[in-house]
Amino acid sequence: MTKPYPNNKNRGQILVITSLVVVLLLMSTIVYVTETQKNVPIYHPDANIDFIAVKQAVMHTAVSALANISNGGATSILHDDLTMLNSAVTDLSYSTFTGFEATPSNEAPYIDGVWLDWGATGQGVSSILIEFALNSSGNTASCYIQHIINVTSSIAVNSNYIPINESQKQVTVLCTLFTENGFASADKIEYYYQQDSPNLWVQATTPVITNYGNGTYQAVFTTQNTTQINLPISVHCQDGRAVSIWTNTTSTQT
Amino acid sequence: MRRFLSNKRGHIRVIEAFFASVLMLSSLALIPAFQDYSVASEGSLSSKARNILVSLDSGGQLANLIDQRNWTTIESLIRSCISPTLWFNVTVFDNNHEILNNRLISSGSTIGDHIEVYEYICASINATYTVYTIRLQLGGLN
Repeated sequence: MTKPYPNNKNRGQILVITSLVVVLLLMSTIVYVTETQKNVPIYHPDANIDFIAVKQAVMHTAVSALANISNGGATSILHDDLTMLNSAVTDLSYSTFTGFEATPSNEAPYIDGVWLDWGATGQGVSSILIEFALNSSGNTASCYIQHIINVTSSIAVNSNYIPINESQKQVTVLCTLFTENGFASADKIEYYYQQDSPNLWVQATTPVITNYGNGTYQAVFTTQNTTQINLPISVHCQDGRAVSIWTNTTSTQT
Repeated sequence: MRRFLSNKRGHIRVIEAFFASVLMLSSLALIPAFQDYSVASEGSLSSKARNILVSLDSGGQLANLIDQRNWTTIESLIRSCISPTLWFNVTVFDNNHEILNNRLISSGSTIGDHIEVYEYICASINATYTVYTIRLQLGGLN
């Protein structure tokens, strides 16, 4: 009785086992490569969008504080508001944020982040400057971003008049409003002039206001009891963000 | 040698093993592709939620609407920003983490099992400063 050929019968099985071993090796290689790729720090561009959300919150905080301070609030409000925002940002579980710091700038002419210049030059400025930094670190990336937030409302005023009689003048005031983004619209503008007999500031009643639509407003009104050659004018304005800006100037005869 | 050449069983097994390997390798090649798809899908809804809130609040409108407790307008605004195939739910918190909206701001019942959340800090631009947190949940089919 001849023995069958065991080698021939087992040959296929060995090949199957060999191929399975090869497949296992390939599988482990693929898994290793995939896991290694996961651990590589990759900067995800979407991380910047969280930065944009926080930057927007800081910007709104600055606008709110400027509206408050320019209407008579204490300058410490800015610091208090930023503290509240800081608390909200750190409390919120943004997946990547670990540090947030916003500080009012003391770079001249700002003091505690605030600069109000309501002089007699026909130029008025209400402004806030904040420096803030975000230290962001997550599973896949970490980054540190510094940024400056500037919120500014300003006004430029020119004026001249035509004498009507000895004590009356027809005054024309041209004022232009700006924000940090360009021309701005006004919510409210009040015009004052200084009488000389008696010597007091009087609000112009029923001024005729023309809105040119590009941040420029022209007002025409008639003054009483004004005999002076150079007429002091004061403009009190509130822009669309409720930020107040004042300025004084002198109206001269055309 | 002749016996080896005449025996075809080993060859068939080699071919079977080869096909089995190809089958396994091809299924392995598909796994990372599915993984990538699910990751991209996961990020996209929260990213969309973030974009919606940042855009709607760019001029401080959301904070103003919350100040006025105008939940109907907030719901309409968010509804207009997302696809009808997506589900949303909004919860507004004050700075003490108390829920402010006394009515549901939602598009109804969920239409899928894939829901993502984004929380947005909404700072008021009014002189009376307030910080709110808006939680926007977006859901859809995976």
